[in-house]
Amino acid sequence: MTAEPLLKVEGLEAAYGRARVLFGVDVAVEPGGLMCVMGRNGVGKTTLLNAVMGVLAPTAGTVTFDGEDVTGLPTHERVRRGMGYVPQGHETFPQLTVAENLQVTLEATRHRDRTAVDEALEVFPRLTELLGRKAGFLSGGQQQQLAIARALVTRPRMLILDEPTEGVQPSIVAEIEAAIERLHRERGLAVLLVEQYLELALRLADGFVIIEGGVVRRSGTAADLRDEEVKRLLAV
Amino acid sequence: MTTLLNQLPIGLSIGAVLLLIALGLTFTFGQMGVINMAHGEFIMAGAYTAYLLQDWAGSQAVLVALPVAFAVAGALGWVLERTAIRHFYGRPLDTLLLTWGVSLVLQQAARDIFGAPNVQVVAPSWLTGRVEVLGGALPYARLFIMALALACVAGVWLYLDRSRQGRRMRAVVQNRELAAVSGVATGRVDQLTFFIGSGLAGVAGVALTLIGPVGPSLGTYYIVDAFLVVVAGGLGQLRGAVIAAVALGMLNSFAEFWTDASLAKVIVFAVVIGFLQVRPQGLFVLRSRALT
Repeated sequence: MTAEPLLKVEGLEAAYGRARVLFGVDVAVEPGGLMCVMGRNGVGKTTLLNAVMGVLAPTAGTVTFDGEDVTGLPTHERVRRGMGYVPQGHETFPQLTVAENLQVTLEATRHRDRTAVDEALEVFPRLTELLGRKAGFLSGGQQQQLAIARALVTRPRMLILDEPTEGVQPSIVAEIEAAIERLHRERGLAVLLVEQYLELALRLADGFVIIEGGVVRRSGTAADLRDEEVKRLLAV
Repeated sequence: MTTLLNQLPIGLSIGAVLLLIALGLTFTFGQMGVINMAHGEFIMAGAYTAYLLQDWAGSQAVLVALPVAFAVAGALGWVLERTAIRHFYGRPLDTLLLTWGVSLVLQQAARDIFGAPNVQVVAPSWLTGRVEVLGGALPYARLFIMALALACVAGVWLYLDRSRQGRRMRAVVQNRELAAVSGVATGRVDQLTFFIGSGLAGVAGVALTLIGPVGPSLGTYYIVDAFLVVVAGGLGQLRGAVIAAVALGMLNSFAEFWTDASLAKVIVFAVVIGFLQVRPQGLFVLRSRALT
């Protein structure tokens, strides 16, 4: 691989107050690639994504997006540069309608192109009937679809997803997985995916890192995921 | 019976004053959760703005002062948010102490600039009459305040519910982190929200010049009532604030009729405390799956 990675994270350290969580993490996502971040609960996966997005200020290390050092930029500037983040736990603006959730995101973008909303609804047609409903009253799965659609409205060049199928009813899990796969394969969106489940990672990822104790314990390509030691690292 | 009916318009006009002074707090306290003890001093600043404008606008100072006081108080609030409050988000006790200190400084500043004695703002001649309502006399000034309160509520509603900026503000209030990762510059939204909330205090201050003298401690008389209205109405709930203001105004007026001014205050406090025991969230509560 000679091309510069789209996202390059180097030596990232982060802490909540005095409690250090990340001790120097390196991850890279190629343009159009799908990188899976794996590991057991509480090893720092969500912290890594938050630090990458600037939601949590890293204490050391750099985040480079498309050749630009974005480590010091505020979160909304990273979003405007094409980093689309879907945080853990199907987050929405609960008192705004589904339409307003997408609208408020659209109005914060540089492009302000209404067709971005239509494109996002094409990915999750289910949401079209729910446009007038308050987001807080949707089911977990519908909220997660809205959360991803909201990120798509920003026209990201990379999607950063934190356990997108966690707490989602099984009937919608398949829809969400299919949508991620389609966005990645057909639209060529780069994806940084945090996922606990090996099956999804095996099917989609072309690379992975396993985090343990705030450092990358193992990394490799999709083929390496079948390795016994990888399975051991992920076993609960 | 007629004297009892008299209390109705009086109660409404007290309610209108309460509403005007509480409206700004629905932004800074209700939406942003900042306990700004200096809010009363922004009211005071608005009132002195009207006083100062008399030199220039004469008896029409009150009208001219409405937009100017909005800008002056708004600017004060903006400076306070930028220089101090934003460093204390999520720390209500520190914010309370900090803004209380600012409130004392502002009061002393007013004393130094304008002197300790109260000053008077002359109402325009077209506001000096009174009208017969239900057997009682209601001054035009009170009617003007009611109209102003209604206009401000309508404006705030339009802003929150219909404008792009209002939608952005609600998004930040409901989920700050998600707003940031949706590309919203949350810091800028905070600045504007604080500017508007503080500016509304300035407007209330101008209105208060119509019903009483202006002094350095003008705001302190009203600040507690304003917080009471916002808490009883439900945090950040516009219709809650409207209903609570009118209800408290009525209660005040009737309690004062049957007892006296200081006992009426006690009764109002007791009723609000009792009410909050039954409904700690206030009149209206945000409901959704996400919050239950």
